Amino acid sequence: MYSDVLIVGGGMAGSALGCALATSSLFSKITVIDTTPIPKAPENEVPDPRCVTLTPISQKFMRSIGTWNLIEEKRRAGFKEMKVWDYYGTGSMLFEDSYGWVLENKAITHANMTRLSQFPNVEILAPAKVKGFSVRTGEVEVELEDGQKLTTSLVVGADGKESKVRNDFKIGAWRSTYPHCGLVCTVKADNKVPTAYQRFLKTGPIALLPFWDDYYSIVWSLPPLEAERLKKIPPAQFIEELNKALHDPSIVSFPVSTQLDAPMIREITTDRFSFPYALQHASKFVDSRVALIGDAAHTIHPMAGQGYNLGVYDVINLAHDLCEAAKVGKDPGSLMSLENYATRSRLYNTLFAGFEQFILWNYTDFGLIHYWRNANFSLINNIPPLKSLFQAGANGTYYVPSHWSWVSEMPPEEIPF
Amino acid sequence: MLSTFRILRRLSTVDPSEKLIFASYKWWSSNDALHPYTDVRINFIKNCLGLSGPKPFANMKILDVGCGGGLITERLARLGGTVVGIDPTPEAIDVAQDHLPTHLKDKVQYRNCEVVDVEGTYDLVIASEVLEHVNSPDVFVKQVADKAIPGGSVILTTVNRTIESYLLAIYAAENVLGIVEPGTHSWDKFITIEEFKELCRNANLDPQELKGWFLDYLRFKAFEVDYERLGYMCRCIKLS
Repeated sequence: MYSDVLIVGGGMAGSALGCALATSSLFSKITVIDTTPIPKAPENEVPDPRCVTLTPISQKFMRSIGTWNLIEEKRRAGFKEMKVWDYYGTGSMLFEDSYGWVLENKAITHANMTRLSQFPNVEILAPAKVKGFSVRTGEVEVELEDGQKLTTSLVVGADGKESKVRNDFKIGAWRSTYPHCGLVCTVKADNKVPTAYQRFLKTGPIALLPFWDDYYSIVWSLPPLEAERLKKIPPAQFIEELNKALHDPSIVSFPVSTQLDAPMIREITTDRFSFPYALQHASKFVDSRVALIGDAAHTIHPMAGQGYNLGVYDVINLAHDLCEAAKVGKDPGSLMSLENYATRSRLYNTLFAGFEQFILWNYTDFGLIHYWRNANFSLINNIPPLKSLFQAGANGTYYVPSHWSWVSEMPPEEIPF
Repeated sequence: MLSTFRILRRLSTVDPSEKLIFASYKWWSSNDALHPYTDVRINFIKNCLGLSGPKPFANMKILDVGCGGGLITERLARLGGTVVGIDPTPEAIDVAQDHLPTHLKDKVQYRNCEVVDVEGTYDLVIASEVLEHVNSPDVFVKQVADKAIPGGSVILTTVNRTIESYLLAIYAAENVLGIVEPGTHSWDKFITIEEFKELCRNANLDPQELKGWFLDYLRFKAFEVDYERLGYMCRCIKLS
């Protein structure tokens, strides 16, 4: 059985790529393979802490493939501004028109998979597992664990950071660790406002992202031992530590003391999960007959809330190029169809990885670096063009084409409020 | 008179020295200008025929004369067409055959022969970048036109004989940029627009859309342009 594109991994990136390619109706068949069954619609009342923040471009993308409206309205909570400040000095940044949406991973996957199953030319094999690939002239034969054999022109690896596709196609990955691991949970707070908060602490950044009702998601980056400790302490004590992290006044309060009106955390409503962070880049994002997207190609520190968005930009760039190739009958698996995606993706991924590394170096607490750091915060906050540059860099406009090949008309901009 | 005409139509137009050049041509080398140009050619054909959608060439019988390594043939098959690709150079046919993915095997047929050896007629006949490589292009165009059904389309592309084409299509492309294999073209075999239109009319073809193309070397992307002093493409209608 032949499909034009075979996507290994029906997670948030793989299913999105499938939707974009199917929406274009330029392909005769798309196959999506995942090891887990198709997820059910989320019904939980308390938001799941495993969530992502969508930039305006990523949200626009979800509208372009028709999955945005498949997510229950309540579950599409947005924020309209972002406050960032430092534990040490008086530096702070307020991004007034920085829109974003906080969505549960499973809500996105469910919406994408639901949309995918509506296309007649999409074949979803889940649960199914790939056994191996054998490359032949002009195509790849994919063998599944159950013995089924499929052929395709292009294999897309969207199977996460331990990608089997990457390993099987003998593409290496460069990996480095961060001094942090992540601690996530959902909390309830007083006076919830649609604002995202991030404070840079001595031990690492903590982010407070608004969910629906008065729920917030906590993403706390910490040294692994500290994370283990915070995971084990009783909830009351955890809330106390959390409030301390968010509300303790800065160590230096000259010339003015920064008071940010972060909400008071009242209650912790889910388990605390911890997970390791890694900086990883595949040595190649594409090769003949294979393309890697999302975590299979790159992972970064979640401090800027960009991890999933970079995956979405991959999907946008790759889907656009594949559609353009399909219009002129180009082989989707040839390097000529894939190279442009790899170049673009490499660019914004390196940019973000480097930017985050720069921030981490600024938190080494060495000498007078506190002052340099806080001065930078104030500088960015007070020079409007500089601030807009940062804002534009963070909302994704620069990294994707201005027109997307799978839609004849680009969806209009949308803001959460 | 009629017999002379028949003899003419049986005449071989293959230039043996050209055959030698294409025996070792690296058709699928990714830095060959033919690949971005093929995007333009396919788009040109689609626009001229008013085709769009997922399988625009479905239910079409297509003949690709001088298919070389199968650059156009394969793409047309992927776009739904049933294509016969012919080339007098056996090595080129071997390359094309080896490159053809299994799932396209029933859509494509490659034959090592000349256009006069092809039987039957086709909805669409393409001879792209062939005119400047044959002996007696007048005979060749007639032979190509013969293979199209009345009212069917014949797509011909070649290079204009101008000072610009000498500088860019031969000197720069072959010797400086290396995007065309050296020795591929000889300038005196290029065809001017007037000559080209004359060739078409003599072969009972009505030349319609005529467009030039240009390669943006830095982005390695080709474009259709309204400038015909370099390479150009033309869609002709076969008159009955």
